[in-house]
Amino acid sequence: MKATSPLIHYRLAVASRSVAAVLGGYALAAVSTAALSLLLNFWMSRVEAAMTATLLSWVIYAIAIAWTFYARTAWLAWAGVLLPALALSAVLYGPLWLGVEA
Amino acid sequence: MTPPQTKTGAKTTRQPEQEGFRQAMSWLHTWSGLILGWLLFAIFVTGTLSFFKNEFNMWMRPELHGLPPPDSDVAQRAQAALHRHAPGVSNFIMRLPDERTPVVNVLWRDKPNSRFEALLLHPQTGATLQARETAGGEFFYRFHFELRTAHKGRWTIQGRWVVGVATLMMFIALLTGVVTHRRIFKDFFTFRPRKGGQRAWLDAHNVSGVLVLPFYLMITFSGLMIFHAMYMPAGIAAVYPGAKGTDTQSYFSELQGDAPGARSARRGSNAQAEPLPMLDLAPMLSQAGQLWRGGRVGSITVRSDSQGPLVEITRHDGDRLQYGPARLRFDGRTGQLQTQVDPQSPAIKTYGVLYGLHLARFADIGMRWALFGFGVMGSLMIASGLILWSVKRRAQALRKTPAAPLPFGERLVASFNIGLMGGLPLAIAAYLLANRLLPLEMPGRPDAELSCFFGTWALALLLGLIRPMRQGWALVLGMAATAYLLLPWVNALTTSTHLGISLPAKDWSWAGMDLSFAAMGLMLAALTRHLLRARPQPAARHAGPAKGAAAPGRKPGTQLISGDNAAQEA
Repeated sequence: MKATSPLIHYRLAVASRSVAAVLGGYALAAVSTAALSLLLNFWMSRVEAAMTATLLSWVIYAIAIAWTFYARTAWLAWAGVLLPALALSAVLYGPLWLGVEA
Repeated sequence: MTPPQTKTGAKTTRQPEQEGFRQAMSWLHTWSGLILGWLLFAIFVTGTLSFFKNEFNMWMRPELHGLPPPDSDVAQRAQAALHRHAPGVSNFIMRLPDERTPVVNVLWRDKPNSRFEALLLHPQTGATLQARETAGGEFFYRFHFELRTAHKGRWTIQGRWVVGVATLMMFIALLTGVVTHRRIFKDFFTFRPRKGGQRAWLDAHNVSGVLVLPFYLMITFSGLMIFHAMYMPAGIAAVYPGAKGTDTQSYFSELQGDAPGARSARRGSNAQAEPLPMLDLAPMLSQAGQLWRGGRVGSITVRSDSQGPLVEITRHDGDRLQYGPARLRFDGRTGQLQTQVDPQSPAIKTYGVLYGLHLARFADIGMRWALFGFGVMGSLMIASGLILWSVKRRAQALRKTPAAPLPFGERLVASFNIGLMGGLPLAIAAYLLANRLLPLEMPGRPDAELSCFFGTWALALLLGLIRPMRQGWALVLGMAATAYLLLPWVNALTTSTHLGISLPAKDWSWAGMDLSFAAMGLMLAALTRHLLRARPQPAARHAGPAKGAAAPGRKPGTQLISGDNAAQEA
């Protein structure tokens, strides 16, 4: 994303980041919300847990999007949203999938 | 994952990338704004009008003019009238009259899971009132959040998704805008209309963007939260596992302060829909008045299920900021109070306050106008941004080659600006005129009104495509000005709710509508006059080259027909 790179390359990089922001950011926000809901459910009722997590989900989404445009390269932008999302979903749904198989 | 996203952090650690980041943001802002701008403009305008939904609902039913203030026994009389009208009624929602809507509004059905029928009743006698069929102010409201195109709903889920995506983009644009905007405070005080052209449009865009920023943040965030179960269901899915995916029913029950599966007058299986008996509502209403210490009753919901009739009394939603209002549930047969429902836990309350802020049911007339003003500012912010896109590119092109023709893309954007933005007020005026002028007994009248709305909008788009420059603006806005100025006259000729009657009676909710239409017409007329008169001088070309671009090569005088056209249109 250097100013010297050709315009089309620059725009493709921005387009890639935009997709990472909107879709990758959503994935991260959604998984975080699910995880946070489950976590908060230890201390509060499930409706409070779900609502608190959902209220915060948009903040997480916004931070994820900011990251995708702040990262040094488009690859880092993708990695920054997808890796935490994958890690969180592995923690969340891994036991479930393993349990189903066993 | 904690990205250092503050500007200062970026400055110290990554000097070379700084411009790239801002550049990317600016590029993203420009293009996503261009793609979503017209949609957001329509959402903003219709949402702004929805602050006065009740007033539009009344104005578009002039038969309801001049009703007396409500009688304290009106609920009982209205119930009797409903039973006469629909003997088999098994479920109804009765909104009691208030100062904004002085009529009893009943939605009822006699078959399980069928569509509710509407019934309007007199606020004192409970007699059935006949009003014209109209989509009313509900249309603006429905278009605002689901882009409704037909009176009885069509593609509403798809519409909500489209609106949701647009809202999210706006929310992101606002946040990134705050982060990246260098001079956010300075822009409060910067408006240089005299500079003309691009500079003035940029200032207008910044001022309208920055001045009401908290309102935009609130309105987009709450807009996303209102449909959170649709837009962000992951949290609910995690803690409400059900047999078939997510147990959304239980979630909504608990969100409204009920246990899952609790007996409710609003939800539940209507399989055995016994016809309701006449119920003695007065003791329940007086108990509600005591418990709420004089708070108003908003609506009464009654439903029969296998255990007999159940009555739910809902407090008036104008009584507080948090939405939804408190409810009392009674056994219909004994009149015994069963439960008081009013969840106040922190997250639910936060959600309720956001919801309430968005709907503004709490707002009195002054607050309502202030919010209306913020909505207008938002619409102008979007409009000026879209115009800036055109003006900026035109200025650049003309600086290179003085008589450069309009490229296809820019021509298209200019056309859409005229047709979709300029055309919207015109379409709204056409919709309101249709309400007065379409035959009263016409079948499918509400949909005919909507056809007038969308037809006029399409016509404006066509005009924009044919005349994508200054003349097109003058034509469309001139037609809109004429239509708005005609509205009070058409109202006077077709109803007895016109200014000649409503002004002497100081009937402000009716007179205010006609006066607002007239004011809108005058403003649009002034704008049109400005567009037609302010021909750019050759010497002033550098200040506003884009404005002048329409002039060369166009036949003078063509724009003078705008008045005639508008008259025919109306």
